[in-house]
Amino acid sequence: MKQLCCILIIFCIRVSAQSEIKGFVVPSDNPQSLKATVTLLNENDEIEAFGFSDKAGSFSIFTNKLGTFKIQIKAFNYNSKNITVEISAKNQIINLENIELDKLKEIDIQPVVITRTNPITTKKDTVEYKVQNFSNSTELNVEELLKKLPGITVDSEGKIKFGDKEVERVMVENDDLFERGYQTLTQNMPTKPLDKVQVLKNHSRNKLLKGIENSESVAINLTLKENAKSKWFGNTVLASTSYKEDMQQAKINLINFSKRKKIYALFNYNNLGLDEMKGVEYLISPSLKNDVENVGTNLKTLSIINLHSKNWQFEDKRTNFNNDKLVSLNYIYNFRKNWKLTFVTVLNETENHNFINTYYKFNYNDVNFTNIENKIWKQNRQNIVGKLEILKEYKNASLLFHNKISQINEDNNNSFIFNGKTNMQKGENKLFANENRMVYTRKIDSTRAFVAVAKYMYQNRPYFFAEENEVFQQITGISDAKELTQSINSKMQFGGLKFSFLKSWNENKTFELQLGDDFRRDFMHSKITIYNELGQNFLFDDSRFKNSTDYFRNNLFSQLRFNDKRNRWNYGITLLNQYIAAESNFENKTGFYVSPIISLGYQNKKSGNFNLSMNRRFSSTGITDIFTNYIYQGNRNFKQNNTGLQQLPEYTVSFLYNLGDVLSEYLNFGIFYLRNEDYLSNNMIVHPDYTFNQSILVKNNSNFSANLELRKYIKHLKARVSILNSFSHSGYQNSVNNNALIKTKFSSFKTGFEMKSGWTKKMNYEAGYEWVFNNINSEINQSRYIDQKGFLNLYYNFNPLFRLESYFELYKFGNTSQKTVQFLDFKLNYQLKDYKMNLFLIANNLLNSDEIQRYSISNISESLYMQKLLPRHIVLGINKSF
Amino acid sequence: MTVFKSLGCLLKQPNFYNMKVIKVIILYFLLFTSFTYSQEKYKGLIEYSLIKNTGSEEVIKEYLLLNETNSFYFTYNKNEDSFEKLSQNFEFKYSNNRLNFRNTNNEFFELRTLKNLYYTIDKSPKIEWKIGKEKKEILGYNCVKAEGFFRGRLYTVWFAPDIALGYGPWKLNGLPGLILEAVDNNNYFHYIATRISLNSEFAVPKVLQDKMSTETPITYKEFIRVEDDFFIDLRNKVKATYPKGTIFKEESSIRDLLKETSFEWDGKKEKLK
Repeated sequence: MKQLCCILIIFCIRVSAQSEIKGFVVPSDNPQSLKATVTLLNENDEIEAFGFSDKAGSFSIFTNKLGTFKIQIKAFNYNSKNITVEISAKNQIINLENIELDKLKEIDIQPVVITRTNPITTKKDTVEYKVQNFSNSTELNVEELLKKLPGITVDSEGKIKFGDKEVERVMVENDDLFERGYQTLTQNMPTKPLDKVQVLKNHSRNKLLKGIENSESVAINLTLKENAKSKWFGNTVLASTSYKEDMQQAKINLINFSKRKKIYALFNYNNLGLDEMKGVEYLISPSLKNDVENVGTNLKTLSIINLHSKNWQFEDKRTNFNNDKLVSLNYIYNFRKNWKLTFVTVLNETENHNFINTYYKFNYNDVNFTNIENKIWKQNRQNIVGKLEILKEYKNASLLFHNKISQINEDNNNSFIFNGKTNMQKGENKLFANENRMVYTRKIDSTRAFVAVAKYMYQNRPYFFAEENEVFQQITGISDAKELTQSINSKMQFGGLKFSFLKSWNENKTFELQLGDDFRRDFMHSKITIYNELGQNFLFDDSRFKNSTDYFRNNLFSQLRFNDKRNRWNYGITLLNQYIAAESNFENKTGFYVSPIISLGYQNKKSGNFNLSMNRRFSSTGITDIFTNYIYQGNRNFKQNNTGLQQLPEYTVSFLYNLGDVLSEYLNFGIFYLRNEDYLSNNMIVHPDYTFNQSILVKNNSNFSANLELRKYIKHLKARVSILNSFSHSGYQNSVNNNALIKTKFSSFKTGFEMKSGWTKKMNYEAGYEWVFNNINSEINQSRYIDQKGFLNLYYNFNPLFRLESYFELYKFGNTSQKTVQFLDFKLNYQLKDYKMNLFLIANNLLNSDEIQRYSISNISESLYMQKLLPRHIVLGINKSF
Repeated sequence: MTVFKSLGCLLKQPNFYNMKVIKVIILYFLLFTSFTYSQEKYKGLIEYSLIKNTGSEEVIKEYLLLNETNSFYFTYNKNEDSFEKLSQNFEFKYSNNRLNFRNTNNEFFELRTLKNLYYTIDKSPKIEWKIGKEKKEILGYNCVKAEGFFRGRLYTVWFAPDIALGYGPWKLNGLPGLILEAVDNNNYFHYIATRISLNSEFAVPKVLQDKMSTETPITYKEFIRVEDDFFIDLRNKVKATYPKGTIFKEESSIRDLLKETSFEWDGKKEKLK
């Protein structure tokens, strides 16, 4: 009763404050009521109030305004009626009584059809992520954001994958700066200004080839928020440990992007063990992809010897004793007449120290000895890379000029203690590389295109190093030999020209023909000098220790590629024909080689997807495989070759299968098989104090690997459980002291599980454990050992601005005296929204594990490595946007 | 009609006033009514594109069939198809469809697929529209701007007074003219009419009619509970799917990126200033 009273009171008040206009709509043709709209319009024809007639036809609308109004009554397919009303006082009730509406004449009731195209069409091949829905604004760089986007994974080197495909470039507003070295961008750029992350599948770098080229490439494009454009913005990250550990990090990003001009400047420094310099290496190394815009695929940065050994036994983040700096300035300008200029410069300096103690035990043919070594590798590297790109676009054509200059200065300062004797090694190595490329693209029509590419490259890589080592007395027979110096001069020239024709019938059916020729010329000279304690050099018979090798290779080739997709099937054929003429100062060889690739795929949700691929190809021996006299590799190790010019044939077969849905239940299975008909192995001539390695040609070798992943979401645990298995089996044959070949088989089986919770609460966990069963079996020895690894990560959100992460890891490597090594790390992140700032506290290696041991075995030796680890340190940092 | 009258009488008698009976009656009523409407031919068809901008941008095609007295609304995820092309080879796929059927009492009969197929009746609240002064032309019709809250989101819509039918895309309705464009203030859901066809004959694809008449309904409140559970479960699954080392922010509400974020029964009032 009370409620009813209330309602009545409210109703009364409402009515009493307003004027009411009521009436009754009657259709003229039909005694039944119709649904009409009634609007009250003011002098400007603006709607003041509106209502509908009810089932019975009555309506009433209310207003508290005064004046002259128009009542408009409309019904679908009826003539509308306008009635003028005058409201002169509040609480007025105007009753319009019956209003008759006339139906439109039959002739006027005509079908009406108005259409327009979709204002937005879903961009095919594009997956877009709106950043605000994935970011928690504590990300220190783009990489941390990308890790959170479904489908994207980032590995420890900063390489990005979308699904199982590697991302080839990361662009900002459709401009590519760092090519394959995109880590320089993703590990530095702040996420604040980002609007969207677009993953572009089947991406064509060249706009004109979109839809014509059969591209499997994946690229990422970052788009900026409107308010971030045309003004300066950026961020700075500063972090430090206490003065005792003396470890710091500093990062500054400065960005200004407008329609015409893009500027990006960055600075990055750390000695905290963070490896954020990988991008520079990838930027320096030449492109290896055999697409229509590139010619030459076997072009790596020249490397004859390596005087630095970065840790490879254990996780980089725990062993990277570093001091890295990077400065980069990047500029893109779009000129009015379709000219575009891109200018990228990177300068960086890296320092890496690696501390390893090894225990090496040799046992073969009654030769037994043990060496104990303490090694400290120190490397300092300065890299300078400059890239200039000029693009001119015409109506249906484009011309691109690309130039890249890189320079590396590397200094080594290694100290080795070999069975108690100190050996010092100092090296100065350099690289100068210049790459010029010109690409002309012409789009003939929407399905055909023509591309021409010309490239010229030059590399100069001199090495010089000196080592104090008494072992040279034994090798040269000079009793007071104390120091050895070696200078190596290596140069490479490459030139290539390629023409390609592309044709597509539809998006799935494509054809490509490439014709071209490339040549490569290498020169390499090496020389060893021996000094005594006083720095006087000796004349000795160095005929076995100097090289002067020329190498020339011409490759005339054609490549056909055809891809098609029908229903659920897709297949592709690639046929490469090569006429190769190779020449060195010892021999000449020519030959004709056919390398086919066949792939077949099937996609079906119910029965699963599979992909089968078969490939036969040839790899050429290069300058590092053909020098015939010894080059000192450092570390008491000499190398020469006995193989000459070779084309090494190999087959690969791979099969991939997956079934199910990643979210609920999923199975992924893959097999990979590789067979080398001829391959390079080595003959070791072993002495307790030094080794002579000779490369030899061996027949028939095979490798097999398989992996099986099973994952399931378990509802009542609210967690995903993955079972991860992999198996690999490889065989090789090598020789020791010119004896008969030793056959060795190595196999390893890895099994383990990983769990991740998907709780929507404040806490989440990840846990996992894996076992690796290693097995070596040769004619001489056999051994088994197990490596184990486990982890438990806990994340806790105190509130949206305050988060704690904790990481626990456990390692147990087989055949070592160390039982387990454990790590505990913490990360605290606090966001100060008002100040556009994050504070973070990172505590690494809290249990202060100082060393990790690993065991390895070959058919003639066993080794134990002890790797020094970064000690416990606590870092306090701040990330501020501006 | 007599059937309902007599049922009404039964309801008033206390001994019949138990839930079981009511449920049976409601079910009977629904089956009967939906059957009636499914026979209907419609005079008008509006095709809308819904540009969804929550996370990853996508475009969904939606169809509104209308008469003076009722309307039928449904979506189908192949977004390129015209209604004619779609009805020719319409295939009811659980994952593709979302249907709203609106009757004269402003009740929405909704068929939705989550894990299973659900049939529900939503007596959605009347939207308090505030009509503005701005005007613009859409597909040749003069449209007037209006704003209104609906279940947690503020929508800005453009309606055509010259099409005197109070419908619109999805559950947006109640203006003196057909709504041809609607967008919420986050720009998460943007409807744009891409086709207006009037005074022709259109029929609901038969497969859909059949589905509507065979499913058992649950209340909308119950359905929302099921939907919340479904999305919480999905969120758990998605979070668990990521590789190790991926950390997420503190959770926002599960409905943050859904169309309806709050409900009448939550007790929150939304008012236009």
